[in-house]
Amino acid sequence: MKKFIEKFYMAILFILLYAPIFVLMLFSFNDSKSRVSWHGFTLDWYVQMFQDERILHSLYVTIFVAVISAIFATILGTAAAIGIQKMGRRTRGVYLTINNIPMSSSDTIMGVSFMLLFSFLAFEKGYLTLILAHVTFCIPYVVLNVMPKLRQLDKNAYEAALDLGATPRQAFWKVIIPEIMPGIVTGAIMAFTISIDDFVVSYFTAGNTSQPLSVVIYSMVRRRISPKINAVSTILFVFILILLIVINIRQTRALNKKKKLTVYKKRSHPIGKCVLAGVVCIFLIGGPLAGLMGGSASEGQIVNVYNWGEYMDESLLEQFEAETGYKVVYTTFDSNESMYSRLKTESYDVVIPSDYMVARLINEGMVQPINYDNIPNFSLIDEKYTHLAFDPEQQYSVPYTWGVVGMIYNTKYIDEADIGSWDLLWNEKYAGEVAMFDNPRDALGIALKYLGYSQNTENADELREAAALITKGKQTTFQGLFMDQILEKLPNEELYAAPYYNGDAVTMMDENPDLAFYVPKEGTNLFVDAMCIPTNAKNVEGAEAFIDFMCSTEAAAANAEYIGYSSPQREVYEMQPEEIQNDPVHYPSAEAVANSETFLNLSDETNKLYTALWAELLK
Amino acid sequence: MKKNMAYPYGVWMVVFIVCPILLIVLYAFSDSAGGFTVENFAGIVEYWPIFVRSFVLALISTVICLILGYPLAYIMSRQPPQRQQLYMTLIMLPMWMNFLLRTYAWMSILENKGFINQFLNQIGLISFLQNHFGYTLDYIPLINTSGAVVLGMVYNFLPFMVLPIYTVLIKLDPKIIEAAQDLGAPMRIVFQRVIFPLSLPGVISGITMVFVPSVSTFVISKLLGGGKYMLIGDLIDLEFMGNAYNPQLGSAIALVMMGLIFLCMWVMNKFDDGSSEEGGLML
Amino acid sequence: MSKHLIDLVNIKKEFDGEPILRGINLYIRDKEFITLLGPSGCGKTTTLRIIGGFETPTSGDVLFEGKRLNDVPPYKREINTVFQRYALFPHLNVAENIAFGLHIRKMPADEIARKVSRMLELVGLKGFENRDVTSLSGGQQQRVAIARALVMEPRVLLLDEPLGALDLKLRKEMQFELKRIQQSTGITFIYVTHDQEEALTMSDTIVVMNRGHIQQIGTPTDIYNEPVNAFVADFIGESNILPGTMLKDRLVRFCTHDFVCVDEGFGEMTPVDVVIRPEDLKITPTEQAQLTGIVESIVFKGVHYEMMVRTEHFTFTVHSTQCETVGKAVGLSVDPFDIHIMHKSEQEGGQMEEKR
Repeated sequence: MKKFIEKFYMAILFILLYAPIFVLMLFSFNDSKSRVSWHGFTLDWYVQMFQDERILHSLYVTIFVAVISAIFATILGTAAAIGIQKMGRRTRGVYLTINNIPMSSSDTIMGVSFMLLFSFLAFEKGYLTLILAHVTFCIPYVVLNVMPKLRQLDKNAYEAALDLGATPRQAFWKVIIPEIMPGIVTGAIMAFTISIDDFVVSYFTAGNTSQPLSVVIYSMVRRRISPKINAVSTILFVFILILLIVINIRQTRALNKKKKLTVYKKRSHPIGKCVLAGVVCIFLIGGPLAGLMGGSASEGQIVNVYNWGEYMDESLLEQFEAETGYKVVYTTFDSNESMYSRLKTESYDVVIPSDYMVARLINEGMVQPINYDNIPNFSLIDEKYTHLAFDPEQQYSVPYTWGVVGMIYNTKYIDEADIGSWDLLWNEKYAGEVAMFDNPRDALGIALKYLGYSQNTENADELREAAALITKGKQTTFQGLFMDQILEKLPNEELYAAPYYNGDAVTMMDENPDLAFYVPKEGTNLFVDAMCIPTNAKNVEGAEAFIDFMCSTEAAAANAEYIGYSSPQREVYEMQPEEIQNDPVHYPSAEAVANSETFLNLSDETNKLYTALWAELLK
Repeated sequence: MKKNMAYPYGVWMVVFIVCPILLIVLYAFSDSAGGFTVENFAGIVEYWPIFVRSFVLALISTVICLILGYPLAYIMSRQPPQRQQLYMTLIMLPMWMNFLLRTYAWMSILENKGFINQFLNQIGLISFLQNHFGYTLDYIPLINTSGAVVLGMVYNFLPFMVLPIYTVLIKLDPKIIEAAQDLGAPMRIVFQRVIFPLSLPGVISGITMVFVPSVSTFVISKLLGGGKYMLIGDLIDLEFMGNAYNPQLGSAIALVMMGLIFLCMWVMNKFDDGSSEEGGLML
Repeated sequence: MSKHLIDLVNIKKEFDGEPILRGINLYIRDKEFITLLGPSGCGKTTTLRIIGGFETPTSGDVLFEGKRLNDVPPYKREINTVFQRYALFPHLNVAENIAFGLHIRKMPADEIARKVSRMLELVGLKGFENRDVTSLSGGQQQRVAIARALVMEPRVLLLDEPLGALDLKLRKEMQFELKRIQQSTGITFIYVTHDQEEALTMSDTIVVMNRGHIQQIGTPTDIYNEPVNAFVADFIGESNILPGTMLKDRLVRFCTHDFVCVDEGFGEMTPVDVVIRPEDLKITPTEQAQLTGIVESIVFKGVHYEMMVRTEHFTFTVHSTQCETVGKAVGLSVDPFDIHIMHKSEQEGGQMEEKR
């Protein structure tokens, strides 16, 4: 009976441990993007994965960084453990205490502190910073695995070797190292595992050309994970599973073989292994090195583009590369504010923020004036969208798209009678089925509009009132505060209604025909997103070429078609079929947006108030 | 000559462990212009409820991990060696699947239309509740609750509780247990008075290894808590990489969190004095 | 016997300012079996380690065939060691352990094979070649350790309490074995032990040490029969040690009686220590006895009875094959040549090496 309970208990726990993994693996074979319903078996995601350069590159970065970090950490850590063992009590205490810090302070703190260090040292985030950080948090695991083995070591073993004629060097390599080998190997494996599994530290230390898989996954997690990622992870998981099994079998075999070994045969020198390891190393180091050297040789050839997630037809990038010979490094953000933070510490050539953020960047001198002579296609942009409030002199920006925030709702669940106003978000009938934006400007903007105030108000009382309204919603009707996850939750019917941008509404309505869109009568946010060149851009020429390319009629049209947002180019608008030109979702009518405003840059004081109110509201 | 071998790591530690932490301290006490200030700490007061929530949720997760993990470690330690190896591998293996993905997969399981609710619908439990108890929803809300956040923490950090306890338990001399039985203690007492006290070092290091990452995690709450249950980790992320961009305030928050964590560890170590060195987290 | 092989000249050693060896002078002859004997902490192991090269003396010289050896690292000395807990290499099997030093010397494989197999034979471990050393019993590990050192064909073999971890029977066997090996190989053995019986059984020469000083150097018989001071007497076998006064040559007074003895040259009326071995005291009828006392306790020791006999001034330990009864009054007598007279030793050790 007791046995049974034990078995049962273990079974339950292991099911708990493996359920998510099973789900992940299963859905890598699902013939649909859905993560909750099964649509038949397919290997498409695996095929697509092998065609996705970004995923492959990140996989490569992950493994490369893990191998290099594990090797360095193992060497440094083993040497350190041997040295520490020989130290006096006091020095040893100091060493071990510091050694424990990375393990006992959280990885969030580690990540943040590395970020500060590297920005202090003016190291650009990249492979180097990533590897330095990984080595640092891997070493303690090596030290802690080697130390016990050293303590177990027969004190006289080293002397015995000297006694038998071995020089100190020989004694070290032939006796000490082989005897602590199990500890070294375990330490190395742990270092490797931890490096591969790490997300937090990488998140704070990876540059945009060296994002490991976990960081790429994170940028996807916030909106929707492509089953391609499930496929990559499944492959990685299975690969490691096989590796572990092979190691296990070899160990058992070696153990059996050892018993039969002829006496004097010199230990099969691990030359084979060394060669293999060497080849692997060359492959691993060679890749990025070639990349780096190629990179440094053509430093001027890279264009770093930083855009909203799923906000560009990425096949255009290839087209651009083919036409101009530049290489595009494309990364994404999910809010203007997080873009702003990143821009403080990293260099990009083209960024695509929204109106009010453009104004802020201009104010703070973070973007540079654009030489429109180098962007002939700028002339194609409809004058309606130039010289707007955020860039009245039209010196710093090139409009990319425009749109409005509206409500997207599911006609199956929401009564026609309840739509038309922001009121829907606070309608108790739909408690727990609606969601709010997860950033202060957008969320408070909606509340302000609902209350009949300006979205750009600097009146603290009005802002407080708006914040109270959101707090109320949080306590009563909101299922949660989301940003990009809305894109997935609405079509999956996890949510019945939520505010979102009209361009994405088009995409969602394609996925789930029950969805519909309206612009609330109280008015809303009308936004224009524009391309800018940051002051710290390294490749202004490339940036100009890229912007010009994106402004060409063909590219702009293809892009508008793909992302569903409205283009600021007259010709593109005119190229659209009539039903789209008149579609209130694609191109909301003038009267629909009559009450709407664009966000303006706020005073520092109000910005602070926003942050404070938001913090209060999140308690 | 062998002492020298630790010197490279000594230098490394100073540059990559000590300096970064000093930088956090430096930033925490400076304003955006670089002058000295303590205002950042005043700013933290506003966020106090987030601190409280983080510590409470982390504490709950740690306790659950302990309750679930100890028996597991104990059962494991009493298996034949071959079997132990297998269980160890099984516990470590999930770590090879990316942690974000594992957490993400829980979304599929917990969502309103996720697997659990699908299952409950299938067996008719939901309609039963609706018909007989006037339940109005057609699902049971699981995701975007603080329970889901705790589940995410427990799920991700359970192995960190099991491994150190297991390591200590297998090192226990079986003769000690026999001796206790020989002295007339029934198994329950043997456990209470001998096995558990002796495994305390493992328990302590397990608690540390679960509590610390739970307090500071910043992804789990985002994915499973629906952004409604902000934790300190999210706050730090917000200040360094997110909407707020204020590394000085972020550093102050990190510093206070670090201080609180060390305080917790210190209090806990008071309970168990002799175990500092053999904290035994390793395999 | 032959010439000096190793000389220790006024060796001093301090650890953290604590003197461990306070001036050791000793020479070791070729092919002899010499034992360093003393209680733990007496400096015997340190002396051995200095000879092996694992410690450097704070002052003084180690000479090997007259050449200074101080700065020669252990791996260049023609000396090998059998360590206290064997220090076998657990990652190597039996044969590999033995072959370790030969591999270091880059000896051809077939020669190594031959030597290893001969060595295994010598220590009686034929057939154990591929065994994991951790799977061996203590005695077997001991043999591997010896074989590993001997295969190097050293001039000197250092053995640091090699039998300490073995049970009594095995220890006896190994003592015999070691002696046999030493005799058949003709290698100089320097043996460290705290077990006086072991030292007496095996050694050609015994060096008794205490607190960093050499107390006495001599053959087992010398040491046993002519201990130079109370420490040696007490350490080597059981003794009755009592204060006395040398009245004049060949006459000593203790227990208020005068005894004839064989020692001379102590001067007159000199306070001395008197040593009498328990087996040298004979139980006699009280009327013929030099001393009389009462039997206090009797313990059967196998070959003899050990009795405590209380006299007026001193309680003697007496070994006798004859059993008395507790409480009985008995007489004790001792032959003159069984009474050993020793100087009162304020400062222990010192001048003894001249005795050789």
